[in-house]
Amino acid sequence: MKQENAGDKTAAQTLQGCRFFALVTAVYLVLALVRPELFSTLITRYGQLLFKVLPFLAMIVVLNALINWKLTAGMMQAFRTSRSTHRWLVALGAGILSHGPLYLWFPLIDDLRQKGLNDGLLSCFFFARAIKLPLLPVMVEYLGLSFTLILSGYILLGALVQGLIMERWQKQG
Amino acid sequence: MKPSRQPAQPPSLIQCLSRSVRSFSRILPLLLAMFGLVALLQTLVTPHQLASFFSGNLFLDPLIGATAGSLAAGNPMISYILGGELLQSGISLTAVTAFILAWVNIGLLHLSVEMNLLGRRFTLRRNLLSFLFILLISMMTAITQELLK
Repeated sequence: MKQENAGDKTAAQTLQGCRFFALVTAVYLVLALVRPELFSTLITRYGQLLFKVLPFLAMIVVLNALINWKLTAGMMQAFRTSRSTHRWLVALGAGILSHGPLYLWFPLIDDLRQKGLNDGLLSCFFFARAIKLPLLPVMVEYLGLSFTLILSGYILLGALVQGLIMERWQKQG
Repeated sequence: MKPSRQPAQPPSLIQCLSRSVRSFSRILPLLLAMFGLVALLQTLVTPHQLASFFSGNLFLDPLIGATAGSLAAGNPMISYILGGELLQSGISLTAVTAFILAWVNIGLLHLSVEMNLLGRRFTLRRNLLSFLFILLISMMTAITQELLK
């Protein structure tokens, strides 16, 4: 039954995705007819974007496979019942270390959610992504060291509090 | 005599990889459409146009910053560089912080993708809460920075 529901959900998601894709394609086609010069700029940018995102997409596909390969139901259960400090630290660390556009992470997150990860930890992960380790020197250069340190501290705190609120809301239904 | 149940064989890495590729290929139309929208936004609205939304109002600017950041898409490094420029042109630190944080945390553009994959309730709650936290953190950062001067 559960599997049937998951199958229905996936089919509905794919259908919605195809509709969305058709809509965006229609917009592009209209632009190709009405504003050919804008269309050519758009296509070039689309290609550049795709080229830039592909390595991240490949990385997430492999990461997803590795998680499914190594992460057994028992391990997931052990993680869910581990000390809460440990769980929050993992969510914060994963958020800080994750790279690439936010939307590329949605499928992997969806997968982990189906394995039982709660909304609180997921929100914490998403908010902690605001800290970009490789970009910290750029932030220091343009916005100053004290600003970078203060903001990073508040982001971590904010991610944690937001996660706790989401967890509470999820429990309340 | 009942036949003894064999324990389920754990999947191999190849099986997991092929499952992962299949699962991503199912959402490929969604992702391709998403890239289309991002390219459209990046072409029609430049980061400098987004920055021009600021009014100089101390109370309104953080809200404008968070909204403009939510609309933006692209490398977060651009938001840092723009943030530095905005600070130099007299925009408040609270507004600039809200702009930078919203750039990474909220994506109005990919809201429909998030809803599709993670559910409407989770997406709305997360984004609304993030928006409020962005405003709060922006204010706290500016106050702390001022206190430490």
